[in-house]
Amino acid sequence: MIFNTWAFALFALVAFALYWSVVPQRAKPAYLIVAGCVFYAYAVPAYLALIVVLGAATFALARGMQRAARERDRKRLLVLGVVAIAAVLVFFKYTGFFASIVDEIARRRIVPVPSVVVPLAISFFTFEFVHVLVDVYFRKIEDLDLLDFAVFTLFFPTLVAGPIKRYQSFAPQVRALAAPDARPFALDLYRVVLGVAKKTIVADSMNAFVGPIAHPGDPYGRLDYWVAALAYTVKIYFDFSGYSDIAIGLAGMLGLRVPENFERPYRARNISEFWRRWHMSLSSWIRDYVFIPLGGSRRSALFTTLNLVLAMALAGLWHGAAWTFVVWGLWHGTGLALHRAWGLVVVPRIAWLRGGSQFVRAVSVATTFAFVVAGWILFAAPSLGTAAAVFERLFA
Amino acid sequence: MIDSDHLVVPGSRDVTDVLATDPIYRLLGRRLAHPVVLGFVLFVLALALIVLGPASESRFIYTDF
Amino acid sequence: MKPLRILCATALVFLILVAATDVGVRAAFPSLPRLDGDFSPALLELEIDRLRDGSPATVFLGDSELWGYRLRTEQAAPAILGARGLRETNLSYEGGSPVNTYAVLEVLLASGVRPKRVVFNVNQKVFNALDSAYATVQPSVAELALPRFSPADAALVAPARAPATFEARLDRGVRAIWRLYALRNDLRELLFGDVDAAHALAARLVAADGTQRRTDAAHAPTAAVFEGTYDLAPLDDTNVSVHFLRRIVAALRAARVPALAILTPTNHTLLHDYIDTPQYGKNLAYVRRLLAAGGVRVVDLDGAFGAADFIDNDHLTAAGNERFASLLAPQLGRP
Repeated sequence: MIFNTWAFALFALVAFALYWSVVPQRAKPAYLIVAGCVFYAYAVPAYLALIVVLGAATFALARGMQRAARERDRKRLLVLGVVAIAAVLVFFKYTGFFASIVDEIARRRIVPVPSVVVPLAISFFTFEFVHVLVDVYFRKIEDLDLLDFAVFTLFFPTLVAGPIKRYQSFAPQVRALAAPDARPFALDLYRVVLGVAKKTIVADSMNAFVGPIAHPGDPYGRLDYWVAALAYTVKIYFDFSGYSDIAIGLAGMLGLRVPENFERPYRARNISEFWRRWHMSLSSWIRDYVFIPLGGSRRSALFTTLNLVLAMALAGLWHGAAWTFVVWGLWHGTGLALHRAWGLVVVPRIAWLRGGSQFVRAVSVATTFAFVVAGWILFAAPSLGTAAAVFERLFA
Repeated sequence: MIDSDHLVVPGSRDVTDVLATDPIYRLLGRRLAHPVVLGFVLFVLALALIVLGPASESRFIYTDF
Repeated sequence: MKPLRILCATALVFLILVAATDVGVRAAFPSLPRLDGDFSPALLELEIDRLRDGSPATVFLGDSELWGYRLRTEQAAPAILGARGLRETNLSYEGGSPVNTYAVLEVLLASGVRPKRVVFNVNQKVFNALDSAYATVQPSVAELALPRFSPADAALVAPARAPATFEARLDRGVRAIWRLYALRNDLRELLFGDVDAAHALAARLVAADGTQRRTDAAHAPTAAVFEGTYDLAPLDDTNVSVHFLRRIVAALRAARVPALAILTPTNHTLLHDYIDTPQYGKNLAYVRRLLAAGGVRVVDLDGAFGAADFIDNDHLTAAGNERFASLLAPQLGRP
C-alpha cells in the first residue's frame, strides 16, 4: 500500500479510529502487527510470508546469539544471519543486474534470470534486520522481545521506505505506548498532510521539466538540460522528504517517534555535512554497518579513502540495481574523500578558509550544491550513456 | 556522518522543532493544533493539491517495486 | 483532547468546508466554450445538465477538427458560429470518432437533452482499424456511456482503461461526493490553459528557448508521416466505425433530433499518393448514402479546401476554420 492513494487513506482512517477508540492499551502492539500485515499484504500478499519468515529467522538467530555461551558460536550465527539476509536481498533485487554483468563479459546470454517481482520495502526491512543482528552481537541490544520485534518489523508507517529505525530507540516506546498529547498529535496530522502536499504539488510537478534527463537529444536546448537538472534536484528532495514527513507524522499519531531523515540538506557547506543532513537514517546505517566495520578512518589516509569510496558505492548500489547508481555512489565517495583531504591538507594552511565568513560559506554551499546536482543527473539518468549525453549537452 | 567514527544513533525530533521553519506553523503557532484551525488549514492544503497538483502523479522514488 | 476527538473534530470541519465549496462549484463552475484536453466525467455531466436545463441548442459532436486542434478556443468553427449568434455547445474532443460520437449522444439523450440539432463530423481516417479512436472511447465518456451500451455494442469497444481496481473504485466514490475533486483537471485547464500549472510553465519555457520551434520543425507534417493512416478497404458493416455511424443515425431518428453530418475536410494535396483513388471516392459515397438513408443531412467538405487551409492532413488553420464556419452557416440557418 502506498501513501498517496485513496486505499491508504481509507486504511489509515479505519486503523487510527480503531486504535484510538476500541483497541485496549495492552492490545495496541498486537494491533499494530495486524495492521502492518494488512498494509503489507495489500501489495503482494505472497510477500508477507517473506518478511514474516525472514523476520522470524532474524529473531531466532538474535536469540541464539544471546544464549550462546561461546564467542565462536555467536559469530557464526551473526555471519549466517547477515549472509542469509544479504542473499535474499541480492536474489530479489540484484539477480538481473549481476546476470547482465556476466552476460556482458561473455558477450552472450548465459545466465537464466528468474522473473521475480521485487518485494515492496525489501531494501529497508533487510537493513533493519541486519542492524538488529549486529547490535545483538555487539551487545548493544540486550533486551530483545518478540512482540516488540514484530512491531518493529511490521510497523506500517515506516515499512515501505523508512526511516530506517533502531531497535534500541523503538522498542522501549512500544512497551510504554501512551496517547500523545493533543498538540503533538494535531501537528503530526498536519505534518502528514504537508508531506502529501510536498510530494504531490512540488515533487510530481517537476516531472514536467525532467524529460531531457531521461531522453536527451533534439529538440532540447541547453537551458532545458539545466532546468531538468535543477528540477530533479527539487523533485527528489520533496519526494523523499514528503514521504518521510508522512511516515514520521503517522508514527507520531500512533504515539511512537522514529528518526528524522532530512535536515535541510541543500544548505550543506560540504559533502560530509550533506550526508549528515540527507537521508540521515540511511547514512548512519551505512556508517555503522559498512564504513566502520570496514575499518572506518582508524588506519591510513589511503585506507580511509578506499573505505569511503567502497561504502558509498555500496550505498549507491542499494538505491538501485544499475551502474548509474553505483557511479553515483562512487561520485559521492570520491567527494567525501576529497573533502576529507581538503580538511586535512588545505584548510589548516589557509586561515581565511577557517574564518567562516559569509563569502566562504556561500561559496561552500554553492559548490556542494553543484556537486550534488551533478550526482543527481547520474542518479536520474536511465543509463551511463544517457548521463554522459546530458553532461555533454549541459556544457556544449 | 558516513565518514564519522563517532557512533551517534540518529534520533527523532519533537514535531514542533521540525515545523519551526514551516511558514504555516510560523504564522499560526500553537493555534494550528486547534481542530477548527487545523481543519481549515488542511482544507486549504487540499485546495492547493487540487489546483496546483499535477495531471498525473508518480510513485515515490525510494520505493521498491 | 484525545486523539480520536481531534481526528473527528478536524475531519468534521474539513467536510463542512468541502460541502460548502461544493455547493459553490455546482452553481458557479463556468461553462467552458469547449471541452478541455483531459476533461472529466463530472464536466461532461455539468455541460449536459446545463443543456437539459437551458434552451435547445445546436450540439457539436466530433473530433479534433471541430474541437479546434492547435487553435485558440475562439478560432474553432463552432465558436465562430457561436459568435455569429448560433446558440451552440461544442462537445467534440481530440480522439473523436463514430463510437465516441455515439457514446456522447447516448449520454445526452438518456439525460433528457433534446438538442435543437446535432452537428457531427465523420473523418475518413477513423474507418482504419489501426486508428487510436477506431474502437476506443475517451475514458471519461466511457465511464458515463459504456454502462448504457448494449452488450453487442460494448463487445466492439476496446477497454478504455484497465479493469477497475479497488483504488479506481474508491477514486470514483470520492469523485461522486466531492465535486471540486472531480473537476480538478478541468479547473486546472481553466486556470492554466494546460493540463496543470507545471506543464503550463514548461510550455512557456519551451516556447521561450526555442525548443517548441525546433520540435515543430522536426515534426512538420509531410506525406510520409501519414502513410497508413487511411485504410481504403471497401466499407461494410463489419467496420466498427460504420457500425456506430448506423447507431448514431438510428438514435437521432428515434429521438427525432435534426442532424447535420460533415464529411471532414481532408488535405488531398498532402495525401494525394494515398487517398486519391476510386476506392476512396466509393467509401465517401458509402458514408453519404448511409447517413442520407437515415435522414441525416450531409455536407461533403472532404475536398473543399486547398493545402493552404490546413495545418496537417485534416486540421484547418484559423483562416481555414473561418471558411469552414462560413460553409456551415447556411446549413444551420445562419448568415
